[in-house]
Amino acid sequence: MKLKSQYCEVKAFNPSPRTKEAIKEMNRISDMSTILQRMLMFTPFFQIFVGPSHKALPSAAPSSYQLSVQDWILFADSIRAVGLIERRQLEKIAFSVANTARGDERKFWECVYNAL
Amino acid sequence: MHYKLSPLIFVLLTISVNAQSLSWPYDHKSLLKELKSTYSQLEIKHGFCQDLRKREITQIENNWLYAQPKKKQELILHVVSSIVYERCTEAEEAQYTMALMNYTSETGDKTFLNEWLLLNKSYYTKEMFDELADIDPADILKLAELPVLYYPFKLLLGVDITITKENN
Repeated sequence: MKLKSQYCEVKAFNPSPRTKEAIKEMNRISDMSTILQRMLMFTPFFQIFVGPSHKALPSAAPSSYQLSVQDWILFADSIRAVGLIERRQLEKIAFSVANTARGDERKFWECVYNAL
Repeated sequence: MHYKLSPLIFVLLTISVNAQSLSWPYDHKSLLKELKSTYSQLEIKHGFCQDLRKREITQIENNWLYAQPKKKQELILHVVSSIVYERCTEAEEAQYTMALMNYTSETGDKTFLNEWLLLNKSYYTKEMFDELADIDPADILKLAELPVLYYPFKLLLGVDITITKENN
């Protein structure tokens, strides 16, 4: 997986309605809580994909977080469990949000898209 | 009489046994089997096309693309990448769509159709369409024919591709 400067640094951000909608759509295609279940223990930031109701963690994503390239590699590995046709759709969603997002939210979707 | 009828009974029995082992191509079971088989073929083709996307594109020589603003270049390349990817999966996708139509129309079961609709959304937003409003689709199609972009590729976000003027 190639990432900008081999490092996808993303600080926590307030997800916009567009991001929330995109994550909802991704979950319609694939159950992200099941796919990311294991890595949520190590990288709470990815809680964003499953929402605070998920029982894997006692709290939601921390207010400030820095994701390492290793986190994204773990993300990419976890997402391989998704079928190829579904994964292609997840990628389209990620691009569509990245294209209009700004700041850290844009960076986040760039990294999601590149990891898919 | 008894002995004359025997061959006829044998033939009828044979037909009956064969009829049980063969299935009518439009029964639900066969249609579902065909649907699953064509889906597997499509998944295999996606695997092939996604492997092709691993190639790295670092430079594109094209005057028209070079003249576009950077933000627009990214979106244009995304569209081209979608076009060439769809070109790669086209044949298997047509087979699956046909099997899906046959299955849905015969059974009335829309489960797979609804899933397919979800898996076929383009996710182009109004902002993306607005951004492309002044672009002639023919110019994008021309890009999809360039040797460097002809086969599936993945446009990595945040990773610059050098776009230069053509060397004439």
